[in-house]
Amino acid sequence: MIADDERIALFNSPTRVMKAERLLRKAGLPCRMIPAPRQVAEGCALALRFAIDNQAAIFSELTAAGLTPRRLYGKQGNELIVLPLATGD
Amino acid sequence: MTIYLDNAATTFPKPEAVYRAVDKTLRRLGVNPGRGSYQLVLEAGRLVYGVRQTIAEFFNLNDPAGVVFTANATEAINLALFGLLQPGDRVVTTTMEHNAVSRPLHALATRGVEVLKVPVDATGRVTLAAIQQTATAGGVKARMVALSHCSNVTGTIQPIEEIGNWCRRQGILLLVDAAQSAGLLPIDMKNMGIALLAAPGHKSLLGPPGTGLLCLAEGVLPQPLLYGGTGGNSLSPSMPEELPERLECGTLNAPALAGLQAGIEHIRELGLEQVRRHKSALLEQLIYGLQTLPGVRIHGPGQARRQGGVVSFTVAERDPAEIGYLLDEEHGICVRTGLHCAPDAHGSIGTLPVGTIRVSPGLFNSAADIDTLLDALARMVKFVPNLTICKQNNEFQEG
Repeated sequence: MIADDERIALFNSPTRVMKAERLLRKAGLPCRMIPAPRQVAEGCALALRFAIDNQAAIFSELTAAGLTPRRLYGKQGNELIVLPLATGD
Repeated sequence: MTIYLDNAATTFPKPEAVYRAVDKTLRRLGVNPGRGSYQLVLEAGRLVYGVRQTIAEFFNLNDPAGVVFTANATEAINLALFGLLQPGDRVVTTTMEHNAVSRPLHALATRGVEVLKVPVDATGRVTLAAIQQTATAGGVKARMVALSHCSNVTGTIQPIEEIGNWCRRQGILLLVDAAQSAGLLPIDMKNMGIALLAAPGHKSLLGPPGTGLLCLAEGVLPQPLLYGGTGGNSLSPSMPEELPERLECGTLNAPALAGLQAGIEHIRELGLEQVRRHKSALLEQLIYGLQTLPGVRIHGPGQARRQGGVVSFTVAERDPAEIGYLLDEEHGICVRTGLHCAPDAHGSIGTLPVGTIRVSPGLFNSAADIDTLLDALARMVKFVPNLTICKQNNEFQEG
C-alpha cells in the first residue's frame, strides 16, 4: 500500500483529508486517499499518500491553506516511522 | 391542472437537474460516504465535500468544514440552541418566530435558560434598538440572539445585518433561522455578523426534502445533539472535536445532498437577483390584485420589495380554512391556511386563533397562475355564499 519512495499524512478528520486532496489536485500535485494502516491510526481513518519528491510542494500548499497534517510517516524497512512535519524530506 | 402556491412549505417542483442528480447518485454512487475507504466511498465522500464547499461559498463562509448537514432547518436550530445555551444564559428572540425556534426555546426555559422575546411592529418587524435594549437589560449581556431572517407568515424581512454587526461587536452569538430566506435573499455570514445560520435544503435552495444545514462561523462549536458513529477514530468513546464530524453522526443522505448541490447551482446560474425579481413580480401582482377585492386584508409589509416569498391575507368574516378548501377543491390551487406553525407571529399581527391564507409562489409559477388565483378569489369573495356562517347560523337556530 505504501512504497519506499512514498509518504503518508494523517489529518484530524476525514473532511480535512477531503479538503487536502481537493486542494492538492487543484494545484496539480498527485496524491491518493487510502485507508490509514493499522500501525499509524487507532480506529478507522483516512490518510493521504504522495511521492517523497512532491513532499515539499505539498507541505507548502497545505500549510498555506491551514491544513498542516497531524502526523507524517515514511517507510523504513517494513516499518512506518513518524517523520518531522517539515516541508522537505 | 394543479397550481402549487405553497413554496414556503417546500419548493415544488424542483429543477430537472435536481431530479437527475438524486437519481444518478442513488444509482451510481449509492454507498455510504465516510464509511470505509474503497474508491466508490471516496468518490461519495468527495461529492459530499463538494456540497459543503458550494454551501460555504454561497453563504461566504471560509471553511467548508463549518457546514454541518442535518435533516432539516428545525434540527439545525435545535442543534444550535441546545448545543450552546446553558442554564443561566440569556437568549433574545422575537415574537415572530416559527415553532422551530420558539419550541426549543420554551424547552430550554424550563431548564433555566432566560428566554426574552422582543415585540415587533404591526408589519412584524423588529428593531435593532429593541434587540439591544433586551440583550443588555439589567446590565446582563445575552449569550445569543436567535431570530428568523424572514417571517414564514408575513414575509417580513428583519434587519439582520444591523443586528449581526452589533452582536459581533458585543460578543453575542447571532443565530439566524434562514428557512424562508436561504436561496431567496442574499446572505453573507461574514458581512452580516452571523455566527450560526440554519437553513433547510428543500425550500428556496431547491434541494430534496430531508436536507438541512447549520453553518458555523469560525470558533463556534456547539455540543453535539446526537451521538454515534462518525466513520473515524472509532476507538474513542467520545465524539470527535473536529467539524463537521463532531455534529454529524449516522449515514448522510448523499443522493439528496447531490440534489441540493444541483439546486444551489441552478440558483447560481440564474442569479439570486433574478430569483428575487421573479418572485417579487408575482408578489406585486398578487398584492395589487388582493387590494382590489372587497373584505381582503393583507398582513405584513404589503410591499413586495420589503418582504420575502410569502403574502398572508384574510377575508372579512370568512374562515381561512374554508377559502383554502375551496381553492383546492374547486380550482386545484394549493395554498396554506391556518397558523403555519407560528402562533407567536399570529399573536403579533392579530390573526390568532384562525390564522391567515398564505400564498407563496415559486420559481416555476407564472403571472397566469396568480391571475387564476385572483379570479378564483374574486368569485369566492363576491359570489360564493359564506357556507361556514350559514351553517353556524342554522345550527344556532336549531339549537
